[in-house]
Amino acid sequence: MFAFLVRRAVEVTLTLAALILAVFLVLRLAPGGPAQVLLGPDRYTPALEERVNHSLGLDRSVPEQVVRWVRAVFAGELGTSYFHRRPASQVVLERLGATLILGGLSFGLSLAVGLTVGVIAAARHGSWIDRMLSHGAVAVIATPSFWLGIGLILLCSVWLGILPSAGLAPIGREGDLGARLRYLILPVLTMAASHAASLALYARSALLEVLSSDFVRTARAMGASARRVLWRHALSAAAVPIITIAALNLAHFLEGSIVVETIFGWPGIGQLTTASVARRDYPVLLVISLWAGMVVVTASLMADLLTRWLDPRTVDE
Amino acid sequence: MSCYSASSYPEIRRRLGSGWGRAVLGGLLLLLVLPSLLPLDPYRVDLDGLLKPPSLTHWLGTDDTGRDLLARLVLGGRATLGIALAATLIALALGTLGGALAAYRGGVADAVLMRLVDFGLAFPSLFAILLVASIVPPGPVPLIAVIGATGWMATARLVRAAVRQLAGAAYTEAARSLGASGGRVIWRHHLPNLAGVLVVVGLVQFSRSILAEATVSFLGFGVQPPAPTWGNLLMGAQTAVFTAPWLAIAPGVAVTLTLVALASLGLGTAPTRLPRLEKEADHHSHSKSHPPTPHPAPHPIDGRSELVVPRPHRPEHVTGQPVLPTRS
Repeated sequence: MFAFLVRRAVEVTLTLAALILAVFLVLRLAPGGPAQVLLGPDRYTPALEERVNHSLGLDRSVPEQVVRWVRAVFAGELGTSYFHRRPASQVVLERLGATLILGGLSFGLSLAVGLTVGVIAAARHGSWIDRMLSHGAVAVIATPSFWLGIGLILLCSVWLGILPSAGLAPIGREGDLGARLRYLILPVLTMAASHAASLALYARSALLEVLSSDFVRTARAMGASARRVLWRHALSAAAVPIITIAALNLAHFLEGSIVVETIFGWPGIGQLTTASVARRDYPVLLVISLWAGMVVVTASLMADLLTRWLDPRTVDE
Repeated sequence: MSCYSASSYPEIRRRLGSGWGRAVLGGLLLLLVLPSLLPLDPYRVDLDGLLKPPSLTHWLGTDDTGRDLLARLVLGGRATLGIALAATLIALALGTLGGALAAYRGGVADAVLMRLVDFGLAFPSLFAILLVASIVPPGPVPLIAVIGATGWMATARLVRAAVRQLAGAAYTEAARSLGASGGRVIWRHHLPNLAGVLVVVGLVQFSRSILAEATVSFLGFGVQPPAPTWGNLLMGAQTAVFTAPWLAIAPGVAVTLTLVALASLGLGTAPTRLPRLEKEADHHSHSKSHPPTPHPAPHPIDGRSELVVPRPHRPEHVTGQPVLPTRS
């Protein structure tokens, strides 16, 4: 276990270091710098661009910029947003709450729905219920989230008129929890859908594999009820791969947030990402990429630890 | 352990040549040539017919500048599918190269490449694509390059697993002992056996690339209007959803139908569950021990790690060997 932790710690450090450098190089070596964007087409002159680049430190040599950048990362100073004129990490941090609410609720919902559907489909393996659920899940995964979002807006906001189409809360009633929850329904549904569907398919196949194994047959032969076999024996054996996939999927909620927040005007990190790409606000993009990398690394580390905790037979490579 | 028998050139023809496969491939190919055959002009502006609902003259209606949606949908399909196809070929080439390099070289190259693959598979590729989109001017060529460059990892992982298995196969040893050079073994014996894996992972990658193109163009960082793609048709549609819902429906249906069709095609071609293949290749005989992180095959549609929906009572393979390596 100790050797495993040390090895993973080294891996995490190296991965993050590589990410820091890669993101930095990609952004800084790019043609067409931020100066043009900052100045705008009207005020742009080469002389002004030079001044802007100097004040941003973009005129130093690349190795020098790298050193400054790495030092800044470790000092917690991740640059100043070109657009907001404030520390980039502060800009990102302000948006974190909205994304966490949206992502957390979606993750919970997709876990609950996905597992339930997967267990039902596996329990009724081969029946029309199984076929319907499995094909439904494939169809849901095949639906791009941006189109699902637009479709839900069309259905619930335009035709039925029961739910708001975008935003965080009704103007003037920000403190009203019930009203705010109604603004969450469509984004959460959109974000959770494909994850729930893929988790359902995964849980189904993991369960089916376990259900065909010897110890399940033994349990049945010893007279355990179908329900007990499914919930006690099979599900606990299938839990490890399912939980691992769910943890790994966590990282992909970041991706989902980009699309969903853009559609629903949800002021979180995803929306900040698209806005920053459009503004070429590199420091903000650097911070977001670093955080995304950390979430990914943490999620896979958590998945590993969970696997070990749930299944002590897991062997070191 | 059986050799990787699910893959040879006739195998591809057999599987892609099934009814479903022909229908899907035919439909997609048709979309590629259709724009030049139909008497429709996707750029003709009709100022008398702005935002008109579907009618006999405009089967799918018109957009906010009076352009025919059907014409734009067909041309957009060619753009989306063309970009996705090119990106897929790049991803397959890079992935085969990376996976084969890791498998044949082993050692440090293997370790470094596979760490890279691990991270690349876990990192949300939309971030990477958007980062690059913020730097280079938008357009089809950068889009192809970046979707291809962020999509090679799944291929690399599967190719590596398959090559490792092939390298240990008896016929490899036989070929070598008969005096075949390393290059000849790779070219004549291993590459044809990889074809099946490449078709399956290629289909997954194709779906992923379609989705990626549509997403990036929807967000406005991909192919720029007036050139239509399935993604940027929806970008315009969102703002008009209250007045012209038909603009949002048709392109979405097109993407979804394509992905569902590709998924069923992928299920038909998948040599059942690929993850076992890797597990067996890496951990002989530990049939009950899970590797620290399971690496299931990419899902046929979104490419995230999923098990392929299993087909439990699959008939045995044409060669008579079970497709799944049997548990030891």
